[in-house]
Amino acid sequence: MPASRPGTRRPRLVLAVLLLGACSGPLGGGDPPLAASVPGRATPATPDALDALVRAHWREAGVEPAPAVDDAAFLRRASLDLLGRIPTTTELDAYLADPAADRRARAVDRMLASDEQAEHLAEQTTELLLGRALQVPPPLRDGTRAWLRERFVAEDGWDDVARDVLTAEGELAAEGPAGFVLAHGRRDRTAALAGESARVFLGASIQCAQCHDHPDDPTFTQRDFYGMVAFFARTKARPTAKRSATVTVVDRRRGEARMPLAGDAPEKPTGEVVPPSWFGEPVAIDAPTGRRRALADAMVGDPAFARAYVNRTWAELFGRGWIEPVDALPRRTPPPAVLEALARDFVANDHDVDALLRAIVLSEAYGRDSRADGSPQSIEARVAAFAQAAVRPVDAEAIVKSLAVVAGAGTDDPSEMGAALRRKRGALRELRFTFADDEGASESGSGSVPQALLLQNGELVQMAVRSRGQRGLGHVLATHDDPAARVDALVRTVYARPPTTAERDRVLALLRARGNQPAAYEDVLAALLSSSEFLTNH
Amino acid sequence: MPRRRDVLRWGLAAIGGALCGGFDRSAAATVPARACIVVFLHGGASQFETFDPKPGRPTGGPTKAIDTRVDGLRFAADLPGLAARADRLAIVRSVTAKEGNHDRARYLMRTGHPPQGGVVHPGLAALVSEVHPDLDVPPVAIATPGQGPGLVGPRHASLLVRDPDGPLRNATPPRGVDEDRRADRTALWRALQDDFATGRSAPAIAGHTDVVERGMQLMDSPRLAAFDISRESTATRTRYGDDRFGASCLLARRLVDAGVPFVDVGLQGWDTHEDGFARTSALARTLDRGLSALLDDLRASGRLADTLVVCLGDFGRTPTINARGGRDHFPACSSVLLAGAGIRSGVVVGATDPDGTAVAERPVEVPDLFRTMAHVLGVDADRVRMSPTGRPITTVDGGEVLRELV
Repeated sequence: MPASRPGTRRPRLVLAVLLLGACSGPLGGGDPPLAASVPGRATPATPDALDALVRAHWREAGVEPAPAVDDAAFLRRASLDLLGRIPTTTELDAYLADPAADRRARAVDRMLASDEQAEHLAEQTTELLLGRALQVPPPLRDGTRAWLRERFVAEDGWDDVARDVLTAEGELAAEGPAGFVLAHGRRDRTAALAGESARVFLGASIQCAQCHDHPDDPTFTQRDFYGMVAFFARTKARPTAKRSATVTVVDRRRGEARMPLAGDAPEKPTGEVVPPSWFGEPVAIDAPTGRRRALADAMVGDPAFARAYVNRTWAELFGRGWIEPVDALPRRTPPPAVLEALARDFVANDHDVDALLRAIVLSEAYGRDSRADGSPQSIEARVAAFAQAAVRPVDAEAIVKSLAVVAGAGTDDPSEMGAALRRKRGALRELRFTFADDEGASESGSGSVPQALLLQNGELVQMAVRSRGQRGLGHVLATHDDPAARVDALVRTVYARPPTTAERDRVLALLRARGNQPAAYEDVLAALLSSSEFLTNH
Repeated sequence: MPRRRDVLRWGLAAIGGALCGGFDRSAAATVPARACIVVFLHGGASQFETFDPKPGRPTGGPTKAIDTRVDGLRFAADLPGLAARADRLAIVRSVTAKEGNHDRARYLMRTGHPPQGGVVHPGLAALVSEVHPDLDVPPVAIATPGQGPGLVGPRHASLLVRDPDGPLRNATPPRGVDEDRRADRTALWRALQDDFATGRSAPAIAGHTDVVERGMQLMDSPRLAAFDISRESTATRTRYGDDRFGASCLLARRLVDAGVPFVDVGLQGWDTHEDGFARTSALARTLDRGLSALLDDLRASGRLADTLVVCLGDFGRTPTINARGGRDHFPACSSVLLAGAGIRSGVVVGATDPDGTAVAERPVEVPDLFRTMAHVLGVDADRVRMSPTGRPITTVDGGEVLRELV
């Protein structure tokens, strides 16, 4: 099991779900967003309340839920989602041997308490803040991730993290919260900063109003957009020295946002001055350099702040959010009941990310099998209603970490696990690049031909299937003599489940025809590693 | 190597030609072209600095114009090679659109549709690939990602070749893995895919299966060698230009020679908001060298007759020169080059006004352009597909074939 974080507080089991009130009021509909509205209406409840809302959603969608997922498949799913890798066979054995009735909750709590989970969350959050863009300088990316990791280890709430990111100032090493402002706000790109802040923290798409009134929301005008830009109008972000990892972010006492005039360069509007405003509502600023603090207050207090984070987290765990796209949430449509209930809990729990993850991962919705009887249409209808688990491709980091689990079979020391794989820096870079580089190629999550070729013939996979050595396949062959036992161990290592009878027979026939040579086992492992079952979470 | 289907089609065409007593130009134009190369000018090329110069006008900037092989047609001075070949190509100077954001504009110029929520339109690459269902190679995008296959499905997704130099990465089996071992891996993998797909949400699994099968097909394809431009002579490399774009054009030519139906070649750097003239000048020279060599080689091999070559980008750029010496996004006017595949050559379609502030003659909208390309490439422009949410999506929405060109 992953190492435990010292002094960790257990995620609180507080579910402020409003069974009756959640679907009543048209939140965000018509009236301007109220900072205090969300916490005020929250009522603590139990996980049962969340499940009741989920079941109500299934009834409304007219679907029968898929059966409950079995224990081993649950552990694999949660491990990929929370730690970014498949479980080791030792973890699987320990979990299945746990006689406690609440062993799922205990396993989830162990994962949430681990540094490995904080690291994984920091990786995901870095991507959210800085984007997937390959051109973000590595020191900025690494620094942001290291800073976030510490914040998540300390269990700081998402509101505190957001506040620090939005108000970061002074001369800061790359290990700091300034990565966001620096990545998006260089060369005084205040419009990009405003647009990215709204996207990241509110799930709102406002940047099209840079050039014209919002097409989907006529109430959000171009002037309102520049009112948001005005919060950053006094912010300067630049490296302290050329090529330096040190960043200086300052707020000056002067500087205004202006409306663009015809013929203005996109980043240098010269029209009338626009004061800071929050979706068109004027905002009082207490000091000449206080604009970003006011923005952070408005951001964190907005109902969309929690809603956007919860929706995004749900989308990470189910492959799709309650509202899609997660970066363009409507402000004036009432949100679905489950989303709103979870958002209220999130606020009531001081924006505790682990408590949110725990609530969702232990919910009935997350606990559905990915397989169920029925026509393709009925399967898609269930998946769309979160009543059957989706099949989600895993990302490059999860592939690398999971290959390391396979190649490291025989050890449970994470530092040793797949150490040889991790030394292959060039091959790792190629894999990350090939997976980051599929822009447009795989809207459907089916991957790209270069990825498929790499996973069949690439250096990392060749290393992971090697039968020589003390780890991985070598360990499996050394520990078991009987071909059937070897097949069981191999399938269990890769899929976190025993083989079916038909699978075992098919693989044994292949091995027999090849005289049970080690090379035949390598071929079996290669087939397993390029299969959808290994390369997806399900 | 031609596949059976191609042989059949070409065989019939030859018989048809023989029966009709001749194979003239108009008949050739009705046979769909066999391939398409799109040179995509990333960031939006300035028409003022390429195919629609306005020297001496307040909006013209320092760019000079030169005469071409076509009377009255002038190009920017940085395109001497294309000027000398202007009688073999056509220019549309009156393309007009409304998308001024890069991502949205690229989507429009690669699918023919403005982006709409909930639908992913197929790129031209996938539409052309779909016309050749039995081919053992996918469409190829060189240097920059093309457009995804959307509704057409992952089997027709473009293969992205980031680096045109050197062979395709990871396309040969690991050392020691012979045909028999590969066959064992493949047979077991197929059985695992089938088992896993049963009872589960299908799209991601079926798509992954298709893509992996595509990869395995490619490994066995005799066309694989076409990906390696190191087999070309130094003289040829030099003629295309000693840069990434030159290498990309050379690779495109090799792929089309080998039967790849669609190649997208990206040339990045055209988003010239600042210091525009020095940058566009260098880019135009790069474009001129690579594209001229490509047209020459296709013509010499006879492939130009059945290969459509198109050069376009995100959008045009503003008549106004901004304070930083650059031009900004201008979707209202841009120029597009077309050549080969029976496209009438030496033709200019449309015109902008003397200062290039608006289209003055024969406005051409993106659907007109796509309908023309679809016509030439044998893509059914009126085919209607259902989106996953049950919305009917027509391959090309409206528009008319540009009769001046075909």
